[in-house]
Amino acid sequence: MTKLRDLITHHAPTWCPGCGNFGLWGAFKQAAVAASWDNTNSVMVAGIGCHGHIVDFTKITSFEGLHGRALPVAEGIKIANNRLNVFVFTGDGDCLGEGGNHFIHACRRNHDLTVILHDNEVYALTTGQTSPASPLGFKSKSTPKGSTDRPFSVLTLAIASGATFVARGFAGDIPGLTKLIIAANDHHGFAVVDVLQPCVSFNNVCTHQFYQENTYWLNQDYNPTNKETALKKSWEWDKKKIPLGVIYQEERPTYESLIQQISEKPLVEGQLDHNNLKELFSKYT
Amino acid sequence: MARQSFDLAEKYRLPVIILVDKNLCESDQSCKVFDTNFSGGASRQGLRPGDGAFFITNSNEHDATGFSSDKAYDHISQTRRRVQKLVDCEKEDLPAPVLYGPAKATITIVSWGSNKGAILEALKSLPHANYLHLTWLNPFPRDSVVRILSQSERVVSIEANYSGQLANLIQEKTGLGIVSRFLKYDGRPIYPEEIVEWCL
Repeated sequence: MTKLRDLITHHAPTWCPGCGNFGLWGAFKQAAVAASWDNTNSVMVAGIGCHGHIVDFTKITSFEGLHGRALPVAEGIKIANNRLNVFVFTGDGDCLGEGGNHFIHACRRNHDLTVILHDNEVYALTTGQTSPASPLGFKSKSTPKGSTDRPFSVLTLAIASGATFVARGFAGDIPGLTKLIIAANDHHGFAVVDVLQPCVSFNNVCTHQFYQENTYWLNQDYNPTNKETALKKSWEWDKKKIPLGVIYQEERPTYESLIQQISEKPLVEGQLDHNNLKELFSKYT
Repeated sequence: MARQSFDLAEKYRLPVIILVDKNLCESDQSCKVFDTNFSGGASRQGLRPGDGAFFITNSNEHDATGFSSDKAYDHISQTRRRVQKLVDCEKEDLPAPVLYGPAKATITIVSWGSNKGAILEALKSLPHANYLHLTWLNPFPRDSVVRILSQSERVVSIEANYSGQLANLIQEKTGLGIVSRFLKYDGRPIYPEEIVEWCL
């Protein structure tokens, strides 16, 4: 059993007071306690950004990699030991800017990973530049007269690229986000949880108040298995009309279930026998 | 060299880059069967996620335990630790470069990679030339290169690029300027006849 105190490291968070990352961090820890994630069964992988610092404050083994490259590392870890819960922490800049190509192909292959996307619609660690998720007209250090580029919907992109669990949560709703993170990890396949995460220092558009006033949870009648309605729902974004919950879910074989080499046991439990090329060479002598 | 690269990566916990060239990648060559029976090499040890232990692998600057750190002290000590790996590697593992042909020659050709084949062929027509083949660029075998190149009347660099990247690197590492540069950048390999013509 994982207890909250087991997850404490001796490093205090360096996020700004009021940062949405605190809610997201709280939700992940609550989920870890509820689902008994610990160093025997779980690993965290992060990219570069404010989000990446979560590994310093959470006592679960982690790899903080290069900008935009959390996914390929996570895929490697999952293939090496498919018994692990592999959590990918990434941001809208990290995942959709630098790592956009990794993201669409990870969706396509349906790797059995849980992606927690810290979506604050800005590059915040570098003190405020426009990201692929920043709204049109967004004023920042990189676009002082307002961004001319439109954001794209990560949910729509994920569904279209082949992700089999696509959800949105809000960092200000810890109990709701906790449930989503657990459901995402329980899902067999590529699970994306887009977390609306207010940045109190560099984004004065997507604020706590904005999300509190404009988000709503999908109700029981909503059917996440219908791809057509899910796609429509995925680009819904308006006043009072930002949906939270599981937008799309589909059962499809995971990448890991399709590769024979790990059908019996994880790679890490096998013997290293990669030095023996004798047979191959004798064949061509 | 590939096998040694894996061992070095394990020993120093560093990425090792094997530089190749277009001709190596796009041509075929037969070779003797590799000896796959060997012992030794660095052991593959280390913590793995899921073993129950907690650890962080971190690309951010970090302290000795792996946690991210912005402290000047950590930055200095970690930078020194990383640089020390290359210092140790130079002392313990850097082989001397191989010199082909006579020990003393009026012309010394210096190059790397697949050019070696064409250069060795050209040496048959150049009795007063020898060839210094470089396989390690970083760490760089500075002392050996200085000793060999300074004995020659004329040093010729042969490269498949526009600017003379190897000659520039040699100048940076040793202070020895190489004036005679045969540079080819038409996307074709270097031929022995071209080398002979350049050196005559």
